Amino acid sequence: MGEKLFDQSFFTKLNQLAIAMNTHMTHGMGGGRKSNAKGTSVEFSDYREYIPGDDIRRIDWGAYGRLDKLYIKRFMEEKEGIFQIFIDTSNSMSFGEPKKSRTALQLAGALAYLVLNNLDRVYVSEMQESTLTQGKGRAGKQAFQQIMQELEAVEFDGRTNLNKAIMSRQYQGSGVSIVISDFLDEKGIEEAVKYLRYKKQQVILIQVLARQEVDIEGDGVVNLLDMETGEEVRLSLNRTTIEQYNQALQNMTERMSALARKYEMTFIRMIADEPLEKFLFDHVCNQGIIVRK
Amino acid sequence: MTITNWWPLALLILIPVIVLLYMLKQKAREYPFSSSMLWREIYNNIEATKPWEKLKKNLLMFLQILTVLLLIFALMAPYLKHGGKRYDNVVIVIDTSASMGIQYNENRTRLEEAVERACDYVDSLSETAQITILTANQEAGIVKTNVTDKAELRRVLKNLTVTDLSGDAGAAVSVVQSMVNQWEQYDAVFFTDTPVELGNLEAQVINLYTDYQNLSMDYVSYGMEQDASGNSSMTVIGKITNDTGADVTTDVNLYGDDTLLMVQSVTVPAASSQIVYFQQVNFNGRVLMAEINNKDDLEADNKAYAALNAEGQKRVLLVTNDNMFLEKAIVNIPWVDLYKTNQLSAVVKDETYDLYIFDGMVPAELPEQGNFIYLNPASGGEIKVVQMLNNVNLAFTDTEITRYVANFTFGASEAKEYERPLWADSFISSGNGCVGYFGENGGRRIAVLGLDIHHSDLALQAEFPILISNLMDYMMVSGMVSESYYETGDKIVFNGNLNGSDLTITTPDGKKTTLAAAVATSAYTNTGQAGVYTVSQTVKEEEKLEMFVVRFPVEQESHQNGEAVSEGETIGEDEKNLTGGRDLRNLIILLILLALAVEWFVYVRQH
Repeated sequence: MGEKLFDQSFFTKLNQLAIAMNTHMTHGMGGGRKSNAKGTSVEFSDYREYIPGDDIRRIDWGAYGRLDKLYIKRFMEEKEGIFQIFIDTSNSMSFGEPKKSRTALQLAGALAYLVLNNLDRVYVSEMQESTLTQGKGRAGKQAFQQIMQELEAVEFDGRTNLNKAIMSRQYQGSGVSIVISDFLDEKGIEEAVKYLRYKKQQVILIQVLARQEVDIEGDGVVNLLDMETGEEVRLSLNRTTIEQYNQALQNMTERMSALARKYEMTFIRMIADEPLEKFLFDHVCNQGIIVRK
Repeated sequence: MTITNWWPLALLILIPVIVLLYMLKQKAREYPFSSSMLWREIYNNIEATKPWEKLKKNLLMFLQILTVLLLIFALMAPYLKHGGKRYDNVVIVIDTSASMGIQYNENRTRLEEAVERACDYVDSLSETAQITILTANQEAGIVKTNVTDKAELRRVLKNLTVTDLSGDAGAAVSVVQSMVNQWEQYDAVFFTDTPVELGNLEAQVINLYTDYQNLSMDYVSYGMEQDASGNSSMTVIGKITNDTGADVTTDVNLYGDDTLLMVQSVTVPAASSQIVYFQQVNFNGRVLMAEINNKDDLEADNKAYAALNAEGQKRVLLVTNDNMFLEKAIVNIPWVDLYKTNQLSAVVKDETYDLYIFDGMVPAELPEQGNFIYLNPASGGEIKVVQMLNNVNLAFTDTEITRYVANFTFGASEAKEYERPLWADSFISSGNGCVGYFGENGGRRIAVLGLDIHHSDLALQAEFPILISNLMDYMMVSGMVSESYYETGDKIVFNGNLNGSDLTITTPDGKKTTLAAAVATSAYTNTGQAGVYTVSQTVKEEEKLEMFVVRFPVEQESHQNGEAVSEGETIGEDEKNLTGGRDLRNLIILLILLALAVEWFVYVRQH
């Protein structure tokens, strides 16, 4: 990519945000997220009777004094959140002015920063054809620079089969999966979503569309060239066909929204020329995905 | 349906051109897009829609082809025939006689209705129909011949005006007959308000006669009177005819040189006439006019005029033993100076009169100048008594002398029947016999009346002074105009002074015509307008000016009585569908405009 995706002031603002998780972590290293496991955090969880072998340092002597029984105090185990960010790197993402790809990378970077900033672990994966190139799991703020370098090196080319790409990997434990794509894939994303939900993932679908895809301009007969497949569609651009296209886009949005409701996911659309800052602070905050600290 | 032109079919070549242009226009430009997924979806929608919706893609092209086809069709000038007939030659005759000025309905006169219908008929004719327009009153007049320009024809028709002339469309029958003889097929239409004798001519007659309500001022005349102290005043009489079915009371205004002199109220019984008298009128001007105040369906006959010619006091010598009736009747005529004698010896050579009236006596030697009226003469000279009549009914025949009193009958205890000379016309008859005649012989005018007025009731009737007045008019050719009254359309022969200047005749609407004095004896025919005319001539630096009245032809035009409609005629409202067919061009042009509007609408919607 070569160009810087962010400036410093943007990071300053990002520092005020955190990604919300509505699942308790089951796997992973210690971190800042609640988990179902008991551990050594300062957050009290429960009592249970002492059984031999327990650490006697955990015996609640006050309770023993009142009840004449030995009880052990249990505490929450806090684990790190696991975030998967999937970026669609098909050629269709290169469309638009500004390009959807650039907006998608900026969005991925911003979200990765939020994850790292919250002591969680993030995996940034590129979806290409039917495969998934999964990045290393990275945690800690120092990892952000590495992620940025990786993002800047992403190439957008070819086609993507979202379902196959996402389902080509195993995911351990619960976590949050964020899919950034234009979702202009005829096979849809339902299989992948079903799979992710099965893998106890909280799923967030972010559709990035170019302004030129939302507000069609031009008229006359055109040879519409599919940037992914190279396929040509000959049609007459006029008010009727543009209306029909808008209707098809609307239908697609409704399909995606219905899918999101069905699988308890979040679906958000972003227009590529929309300022990222506005998108995160307005739309995403409103959805409750990101919360202010 | 017939087609006028076939050449526009060549323009069909434009249709492949339009298709070709569309095919060229269809060259698509490259349009890279992120994904064709959504587009293919709508493409499938288009495919899945009803078959006719596929047309929508090229709707503009089809509309343009339709427009061109309509344009070609319009240029071919298709024409829808009615009853399988199409006329290439059409003659329209419009009656412009005075009665066409009668109101047809509240809004239009008969002529306006005729023009309206004629315009509709012209519109319905084919583009190539050659149309001739004639007017008819006393004579036929050709307005336009063989014209195809409908706009011009409409303009000409709209400019037609009612004349004051008598007559009807029948005057044009022979003209139309001679015109149509040269054509194989034609249509002739007469718009009139009186029956037309078509003879062998095949034509349609549109009779626009409708019942009407009319009062007419038939004429106005005057007489001079002197009272005991010698002051002269005028008595004016007028005749009003009521053509309505009810008694009508109206005011009659008497104007002298456009100044109101008197107003008289008169009630005219239904379908009859009434004489109105204005007594002791003091007027020294030139023109008297009587006008009916009531509005009616024919305005033109509501006025009547009389001209008082100042010059030309005529000298009349009445040779009689005693004839008060005659004397009184003559004295009333303002331009007559009456001299009376009972001595035939008074008829001398060195004192000339314009008219000699010999009542019951004839001099042995007649004067060399002047005209003669013989009353009850015995045989002698050219006068030959055929037989004596006793207790006989006599009647006026219809002549110049008996104008307004024609067919009047009266009784006489004694009368003489004469042998009528060849140069004379009979004006009083006893069945087959001639009791009175008049005429011009050897340069002088002579009238013979074969009865002693005392032996009849003639002198007691209102018709008597009228007869005498007419007789005086006829007998005393004075100045340039031989008579004081004419009817519209009459031919007038002026007696101009050959040594004087040209004659200038001014019509009632102020138009002047000049006739050379040398040819002035040829007829002046421009008497189509009722009213007062003047004729003037300068003789030896002195201008002579005379007036004469051309009267509206009330007998022929005002008193129509709904004559029977001839076979083949249509009358009044019954005829509404006179049409020569339907020219489809305007309809097609309308469709072209509609197609263009739809095309524009489709274009705006698609873009």
